[in-house]
Amino acid sequence: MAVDKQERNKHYISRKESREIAKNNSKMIRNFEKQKKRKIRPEEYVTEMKDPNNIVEFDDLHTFFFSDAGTVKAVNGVTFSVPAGSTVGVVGESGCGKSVTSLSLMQLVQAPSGQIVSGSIRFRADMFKLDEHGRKIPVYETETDEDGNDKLDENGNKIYKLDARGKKIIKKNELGGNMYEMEREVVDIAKMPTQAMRMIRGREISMIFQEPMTSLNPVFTIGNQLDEVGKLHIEGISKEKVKERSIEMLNLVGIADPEGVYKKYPHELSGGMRQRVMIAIALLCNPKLIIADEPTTALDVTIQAQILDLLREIKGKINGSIMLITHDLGVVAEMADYVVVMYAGKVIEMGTAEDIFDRPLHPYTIGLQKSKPTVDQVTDELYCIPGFVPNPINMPNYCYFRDRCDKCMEKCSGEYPGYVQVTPTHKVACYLYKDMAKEETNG
Amino acid sequence: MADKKTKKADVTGEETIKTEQPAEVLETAAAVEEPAAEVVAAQEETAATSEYVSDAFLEVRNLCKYFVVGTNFFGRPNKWLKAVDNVSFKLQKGKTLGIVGESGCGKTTMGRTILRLHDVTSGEVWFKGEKISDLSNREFDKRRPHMQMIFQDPYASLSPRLTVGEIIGEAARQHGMVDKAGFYDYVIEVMKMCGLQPHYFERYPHEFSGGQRQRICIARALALKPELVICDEPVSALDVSIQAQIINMLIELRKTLGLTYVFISHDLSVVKHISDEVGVMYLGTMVEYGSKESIFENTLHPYTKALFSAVPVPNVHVKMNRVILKGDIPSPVNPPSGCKFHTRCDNCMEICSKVAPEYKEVEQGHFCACHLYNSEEDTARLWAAYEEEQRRIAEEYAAKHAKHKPEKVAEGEDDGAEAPAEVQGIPEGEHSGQAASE
Repeated sequence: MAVDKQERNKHYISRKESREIAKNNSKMIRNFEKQKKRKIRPEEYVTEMKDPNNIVEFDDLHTFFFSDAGTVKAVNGVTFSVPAGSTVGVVGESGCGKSVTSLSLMQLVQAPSGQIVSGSIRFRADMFKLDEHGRKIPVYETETDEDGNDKLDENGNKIYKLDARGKKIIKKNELGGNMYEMEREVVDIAKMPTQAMRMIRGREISMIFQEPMTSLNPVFTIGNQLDEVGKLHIEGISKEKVKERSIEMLNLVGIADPEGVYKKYPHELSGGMRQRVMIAIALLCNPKLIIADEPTTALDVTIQAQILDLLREIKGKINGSIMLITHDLGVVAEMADYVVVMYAGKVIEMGTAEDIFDRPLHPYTIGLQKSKPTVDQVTDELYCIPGFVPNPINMPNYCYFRDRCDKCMEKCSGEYPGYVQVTPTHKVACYLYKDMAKEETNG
Repeated sequence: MADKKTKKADVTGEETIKTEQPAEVLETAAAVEEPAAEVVAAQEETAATSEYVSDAFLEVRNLCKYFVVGTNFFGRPNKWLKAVDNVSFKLQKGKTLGIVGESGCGKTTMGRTILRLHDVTSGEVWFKGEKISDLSNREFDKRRPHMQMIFQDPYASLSPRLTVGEIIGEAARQHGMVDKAGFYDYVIEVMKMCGLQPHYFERYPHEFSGGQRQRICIARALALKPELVICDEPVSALDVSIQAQIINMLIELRKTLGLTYVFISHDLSVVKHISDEVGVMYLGTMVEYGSKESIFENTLHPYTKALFSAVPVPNVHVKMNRVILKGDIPSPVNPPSGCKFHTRCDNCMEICSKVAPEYKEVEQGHFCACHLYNSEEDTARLWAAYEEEQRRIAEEYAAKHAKHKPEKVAEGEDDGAEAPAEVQGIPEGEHSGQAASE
């Protein structure tokens, strides 16, 4: 009975405790907000990549939510990277922190309760070069000879083209916007001020959200919502050019009647069409990284097949990378080059798709794959992982999977296992493979 | 009560229909032209077979459920959404029928109509040799404990104001299956069966995770000791690892309690795992039906093939030969003519856009509605029927036209131009006959 009572009172918070939590939360939140509000100079967030081939590197990222019931460690030390031009699949059950990881990358975590506490997210961005006043430096049209080289005057300076009023004309880029001098910088998004982040969000990184039904605004037409992105992120673009670009994007995502859809409202479209519109919005500014947060969960299998096909096709066209967040192992197997498996806010296993699907190591990954019925195999009884995901408040300090694991050892009650590099591409956080790795290094 | 029942039995064919059909449908049948004619036809069909007695545990015959979506000026319905259109199947005791299809194809409506949570527009539902679609509500209520439903969303289908014990035991008490003294023990027993701990009895649903809530939903359905359970997407809102737990539990319960399931899901892999028989639905009609082996190993209908190939397989080495369907599922209010699937079908033939295929047994116990499996005679017969139908429509049109505008009849060519578009769609050979009839 005593155990019963304990079990019952597990979620109970006394008044005193609750007051303490609230006090602590407000203190923490105030600190973090203060940090964000102060003037941050570019030197503070410009860093270097560990591996120049990567486009994004998450390094020991911690994103916490300071809730009334206690601190929820939604992302608790996540480290992985997205190589340029590849698709990385992030898999896990609901509540494992995969969405929060992607929202951290976009700086869209629900503040003030949600805060990036520590760690860094390095992103290789094309940033605008700024002059000493903090203004962007435009590129002007110059007179050129037949070979395309700039003509020079007697002092060796470029000759600029002038408009009717004698002003220099700003060069247009391929999207039809003004061209500015750019520089390739590596920035730490976790430390970046919101103002600077706006230059990246939508232009360099864009996101396809989970529910196409709820993420489009019902009171604006599709065209309106597409144009908004263009007007905001492509500076100096004309209205006609924006519309042209929007319709081109609708065409690209396989909408049969782009001009018609341009004038429609979201409720007039089906789920698959809305998801296509979401993808069109995400692609409008030629982003280098697309975050697809459960892009097909709300769709039927036949529509899902269409959308996945489209995503794959588009990735080739824009030559970008995709971070695909999903709980469906089938989707990941089909789309991803690299797979990251998350559990309770931590990455428990990562590697190439072949590593994860052919040689899964962590008991959770194995369980997850066995528990999904497949069309091409017949099993009498599905394997099921016993128990539930632990309560995100007051996580234990041993391996989070210990209580559900069928290969649990004595060692597992110790501190949280570190990563074991099994092969150059395959990492796992489990004590089972500690010795194996040692043997390999010895041999 | 007993008299009433015997009376009902005495009444013969057509009268039964008249008394039992919703008044609304009868009215419309008299008033409105085209869809109403179909409703009447469906009723006549039912009337013709009213002598039939089912031998299966659950049998559905020509079940239709139309929702009224538009009314004319006088409030009479003139537009229908055919959510379930002419669906038939038989299910034996202890078997599981899996129903698959895209969203909006009428899977859920069918499940609910079988349990009479929606009124039946036409058709029959037989349960243990008894025609339950004709019973009065009061009579049907007595049979409700034998057939239960597990609803789709465990987050929305539990009352937030009742404790778990009350949710599970409420119906059992209502049906007089348990007295006040035995209530607690009875509920606890059901809860244990479904893997719920006894101390959950006085908790509220918001305290539970999705998997636990689904267990509560299942316990609620099983508390009445049903024989037939209709599971409407019981696992689609759950995570993979929890999904496996629930599926295993459902299979276990089927063994121990001898349950019969109608398992509605859009997840083909789950349906394959749990079902003995599978029905594939598209836009309200059953396009393919058969045993699990026959459906998965010898897929007949092009839609089923596309559906199966669209399922992603968690294996990196399997290269998918996808049949990717173009476009979306058409609106059920205004479904395509002929075969409803012809707008998205790769194997579309001329006949497909004009004549609706027959739902027939292609192999032993394997039904399919597709023109691909017609014999030549069948095709010829269907074409003939179609032409006959078109001729009739054209004649009716001409007659109507003659009544309203008598002066225009003389100009035959004008008439032809204004005739319905379908008439012009008839292949070359028929046109001469058409003109003559006009």
